[in-house]
Amino acid sequence: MKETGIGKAVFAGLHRRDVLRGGAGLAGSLMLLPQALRAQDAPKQGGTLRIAQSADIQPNNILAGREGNNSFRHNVFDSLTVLDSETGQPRPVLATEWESSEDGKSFVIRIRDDVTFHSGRAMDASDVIFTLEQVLVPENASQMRPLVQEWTSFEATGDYEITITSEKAIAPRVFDVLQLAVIVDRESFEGLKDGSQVIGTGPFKFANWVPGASARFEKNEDYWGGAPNLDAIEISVISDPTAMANAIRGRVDLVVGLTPRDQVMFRGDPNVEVFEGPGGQFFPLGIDVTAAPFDNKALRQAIGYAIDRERIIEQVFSGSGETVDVWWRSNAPGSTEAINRHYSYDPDKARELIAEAGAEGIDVPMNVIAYGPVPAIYEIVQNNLREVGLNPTGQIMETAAFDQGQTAGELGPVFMQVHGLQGFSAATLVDAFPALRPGNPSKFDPPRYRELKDALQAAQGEEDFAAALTELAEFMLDEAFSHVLVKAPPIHAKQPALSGLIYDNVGYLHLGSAWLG
Amino acid sequence: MLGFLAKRLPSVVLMLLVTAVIAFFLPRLGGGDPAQVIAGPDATLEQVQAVREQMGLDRPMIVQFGDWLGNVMTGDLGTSLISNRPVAQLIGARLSSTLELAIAASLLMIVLGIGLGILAGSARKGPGRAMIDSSLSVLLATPPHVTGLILILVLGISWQLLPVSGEVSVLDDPLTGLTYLIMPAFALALPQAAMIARLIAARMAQVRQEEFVDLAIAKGVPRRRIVISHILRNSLGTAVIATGIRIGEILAGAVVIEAIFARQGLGMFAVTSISSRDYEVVQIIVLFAVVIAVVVHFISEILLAALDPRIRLDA
Repeated sequence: MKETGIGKAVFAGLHRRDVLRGGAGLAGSLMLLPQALRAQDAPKQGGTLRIAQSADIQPNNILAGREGNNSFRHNVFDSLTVLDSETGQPRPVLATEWESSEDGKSFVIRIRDDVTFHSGRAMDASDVIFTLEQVLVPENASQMRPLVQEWTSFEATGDYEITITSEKAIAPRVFDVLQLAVIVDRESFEGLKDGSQVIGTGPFKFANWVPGASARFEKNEDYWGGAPNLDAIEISVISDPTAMANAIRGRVDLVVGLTPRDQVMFRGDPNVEVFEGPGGQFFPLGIDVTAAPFDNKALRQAIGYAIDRERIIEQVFSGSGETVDVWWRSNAPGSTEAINRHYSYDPDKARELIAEAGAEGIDVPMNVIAYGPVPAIYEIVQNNLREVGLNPTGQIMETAAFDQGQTAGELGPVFMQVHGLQGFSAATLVDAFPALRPGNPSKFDPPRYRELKDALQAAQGEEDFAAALTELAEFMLDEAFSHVLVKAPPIHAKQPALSGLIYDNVGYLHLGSAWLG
Repeated sequence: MLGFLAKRLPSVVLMLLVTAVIAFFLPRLGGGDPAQVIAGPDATLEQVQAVREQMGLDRPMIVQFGDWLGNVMTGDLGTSLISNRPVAQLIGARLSSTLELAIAASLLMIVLGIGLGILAGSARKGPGRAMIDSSLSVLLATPPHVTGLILILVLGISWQLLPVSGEVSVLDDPLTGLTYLIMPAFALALPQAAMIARLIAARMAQVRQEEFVDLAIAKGVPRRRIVISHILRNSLGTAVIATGIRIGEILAGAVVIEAIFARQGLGMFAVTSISSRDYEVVQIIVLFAVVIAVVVHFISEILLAALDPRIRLDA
């Protein structure tokens, strides 16, 4: 056995308080808040943190990435590892160390032996196995299911040791699974379906839930990492974005997921701190490569050059966000500047390519998801495409109907989507995103694409990974079947009295160290 | 009274049956799929199908309808497809919030509507009349959500007199509860009050031309008594019927007002249930709304009979 490039880490006896004392550990560099927002004083004990968010919690989807769960999942449950918000590298939580074999096809994880569920039962390797088995159950809708399906086996090779084997390299993608698959209690797992029993090992215990309205969580005094500072967390679900923004004026301490326009009202307000978190969303424009005339690559590339992404950032996102052409972190190994900015705004080049494709004046029928800022992005895209001599006609589709089409891989010739899961590895995302996976609505899955994906997923070590990612990215950009228009970070607002917020790479909130001044 | 109710029962049952059919099938015609909502936007076809089977949504539609109707008739309102909680429990948790808002708004509507109606229906002329008429027109034309936002801006953000978001039950803390209720109740009540005022004013003007009013004046009946006992009493029937209809409007308007003021009532619940395709919840809310409309209509008719001796319920 040898250590991977990701490395081996042992954090015995980690306590969340250590984080605030500047010690190494779980949250040392998960903190993404700017210096001005960090706690400067000793944390205070007690108080109830009140959070407002637009999506309800979903205990029945605890193993899947869901917007409503971002604030609570990692406070009631623990994962084996989390991805660092700055480096993207895994950090231990319930895991203490991990090792990969020379060929990367065998992976051993060792876990803590001092952890109990909120029910009082001790956690061991069998709970990890149960959790991974649940990831495989289709009804649990985990985005990590395809990865776990790849594994030949996963078994407990000791009370506190799990061994995974596969025909493909297991790391680094395994850490995406270990982040999302929080460890669930096999004895009460059925209770997650209606939220009657929500039992994890995390710093807060589930207290109650009024579906669609509110949820409450209370301090776990016996938490293995030390009791949290807060007595309780209360989440209010407020679906109207303006009403949610207004809630920060006294009703709540933290608003999760402000709209870009609503953040503007707090500029210069000393009583509200607005900040961007990690994670967030991609806003891609997909093209069906089998639907004439879009089967012409030059036309697809022209659409990429025709769109003014900077204008989208400025007018739709009020300056927040990134114009990056790739589906993964812009600082991922292998993501060069040339790749990240491949499709810069160039209407002349777009016209040239349209002429080359003989597509002047063609209709561009587009299906647009009626979600958040996407219809506003469409307005700019429509304007850009008209400028280069195309005739876009858009249809705004309700989210529920659009998602059906997306799952079926049928969204028409051109479509505008939205995807979360920012922060996971590129090797995971290429098979997890509906826009990129087999059966995608672009109907793009040539053998070369599969080969390059396989090469990326088999890459061991940073150098190989970077080379494979560069090659895949160049191929995807050249084929122009899906244009990432914008990546937008989540925007949050908090009261100055709230300190010690910790976010991981995917944007999940960790409140074990949070406190109210 | 019993005869009146017995006579109306068959048509009410028929209406509820038709409503049940519409409530069941209409949401399903709107596209989308609760199994997709639960499985999530990133789900594969296999995952969505597995969820669909688990929820019983793969059964023939008519079988699902029969099961649902049978359950409702035995008092089982079903289970939410999204949260897996009993629908009755979910509605129960939201009912008090909407009832508080609807009762407060209805009381305001009746008091303001009758008050403004008498004011507008009195026999004044010139600028005073023009001012009342134009005020009523502005109130009538301003939708509740605009009024709500103006109130938030002025009373909540600029002057910081009232909370702009959330709710506290008046049963738990009457004073605080009222501070949360004032703005949304006013926003809901004002346009409806203006409508009632208009009706009362128009009817009073009509009644004032009647011969019995001339007779009362000729007999030397005091002016105040003429207005209250003769003109107003004979004008209120229209207002009573209109008030019943307006209460329905208030319940409909609560959907938007609950969203603006972040109240967790039935209106908000209906909207989120529709967008998440939680058919089981939507069906019961639609039925529930129709039952409320029927009850309010009955009460209006009974009140009208009490006000106007010429009307007999059993006739």
